[in-house]
Amino acid sequence: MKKQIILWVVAACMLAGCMKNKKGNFTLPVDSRADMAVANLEIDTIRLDSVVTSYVIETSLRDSVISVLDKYFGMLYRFNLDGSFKEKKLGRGHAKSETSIGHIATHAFMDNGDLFLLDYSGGHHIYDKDIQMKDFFRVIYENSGDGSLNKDKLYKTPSEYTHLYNDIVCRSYKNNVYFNVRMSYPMCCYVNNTKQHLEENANILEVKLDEQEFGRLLAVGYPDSYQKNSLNKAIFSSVNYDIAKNGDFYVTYEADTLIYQYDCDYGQKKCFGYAGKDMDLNYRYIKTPKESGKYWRNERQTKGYYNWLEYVDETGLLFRSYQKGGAQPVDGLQIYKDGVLIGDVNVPKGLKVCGYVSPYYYSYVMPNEEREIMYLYRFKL
Amino acid sequence: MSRKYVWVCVGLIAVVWSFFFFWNLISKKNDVVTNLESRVAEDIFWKQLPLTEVRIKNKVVKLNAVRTGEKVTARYVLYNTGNNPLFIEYVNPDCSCTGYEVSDSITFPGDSLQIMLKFDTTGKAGINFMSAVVKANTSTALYKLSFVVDVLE
Repeated sequence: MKKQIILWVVAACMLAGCMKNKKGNFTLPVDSRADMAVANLEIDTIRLDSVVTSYVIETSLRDSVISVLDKYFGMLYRFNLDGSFKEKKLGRGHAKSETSIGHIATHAFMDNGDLFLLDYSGGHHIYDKDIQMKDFFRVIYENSGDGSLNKDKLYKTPSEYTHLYNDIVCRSYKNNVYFNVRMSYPMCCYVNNTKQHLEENANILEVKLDEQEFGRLLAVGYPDSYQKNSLNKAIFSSVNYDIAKNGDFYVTYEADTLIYQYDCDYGQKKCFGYAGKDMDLNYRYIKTPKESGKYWRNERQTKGYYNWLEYVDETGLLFRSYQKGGAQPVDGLQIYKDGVLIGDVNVPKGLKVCGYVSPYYYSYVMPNEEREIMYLYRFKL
Repeated sequence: MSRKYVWVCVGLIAVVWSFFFFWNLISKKNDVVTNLESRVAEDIFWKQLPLTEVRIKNKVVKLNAVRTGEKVTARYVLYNTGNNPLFIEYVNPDCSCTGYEVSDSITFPGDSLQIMLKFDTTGKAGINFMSAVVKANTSTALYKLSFVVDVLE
């Protein structure tokens, strides 16, 4: 009899342990507070000097220099904070100071000043701070093919994931790089395998540049908000995130109100956030992956979702951008300090905070191919 | 006698095998060196070409909607407005779903050439934005040609 009781107790404890681990990344209670100190922003526009560009670019702000990487032409332009041209680096070619990548997928500057470039074939290219080729390796993404592999195993295998090239977010911390990803295997996609996908899909992949191999799978699973009307959120199922200098991760899901803060071991620290204002959340219901592809562009251009997260180490402020969608002529920008919302303001469409050089916050560079110009915004708080 | 004969045969086979093995290695190394040399030679060739100027009529082409599976072509006209012949070094499309054709290998001053991007819409339902990078012997050097097409199921 005693043995039976002990068995039941052990089984109950194991069950309780499993249930707790089911949503391991979202167990903290929400701690949202607001203290609206910022009502609006005075935004300046700075136009960059004209350069030869494809207008498919990425921006970095580092050491008071705005770096603009042209992803098609392989050029790295540097501008001063007033938009004046400073110098041109990289470019296409086979020399040590050039890149042979036909189309760069994304980039990041490392803590030590090295430049990291990712190509579309899993190639990781590293240049030193003088933009001389330093290292290169390719990570092989294997595709399991015919569906014979165990789905549980697939979700835990980094090489089965693929980058979200259209909305890629690349961050660096120490000598690792991080990407937002999704399961590449069709039978395990959000639409085809929703229940398991919401629990087990990892959204951030770590790659260790020193060891030249995959690291951890992070941001596993989705918050509770995705459990309701899941297939309405299929097209907004990625994450935006940033990594602070102390290694803390700040993560937000595109269709979720909350922001999640984790330490460098991805242990939960805080959970906070408020919904953006005037967001069109009337998402289309998606039944199949084909529908997802068909409506992807239109939905992402016309609906409201959270589309950027940037933590500014210098001031300790966290900026979350969101597209309002619908007929709104503006986008939204939320400002958090230590988890407290201090401002939710209207900003020009597409404004995403890139960094801070006292006394201004600078946005990512906005390319306008029709007018053949590039510009960025800056504001003070 | 027969044992000696066997050892002689084994020795001969070993010598012949070694010969072919190292010959193969040296050939591969030569291939790599030849490839590198030819790439460097190509780079030098293109960099030494006299520069000219180019005007592109429309860098972004909007195509009519098509059904998935059809092949569509976007055409771009490049006018040589400079004083030297125009050469196209390469056309580099976004993906293997887009092929290309260049109407002329050399275009003299005052003349024009066409670049055609041919897009296979199989499995591409939805609105597609595709591009190709073109390199020519001009001071600008690089150009992005794009097209947009709505592919219906």
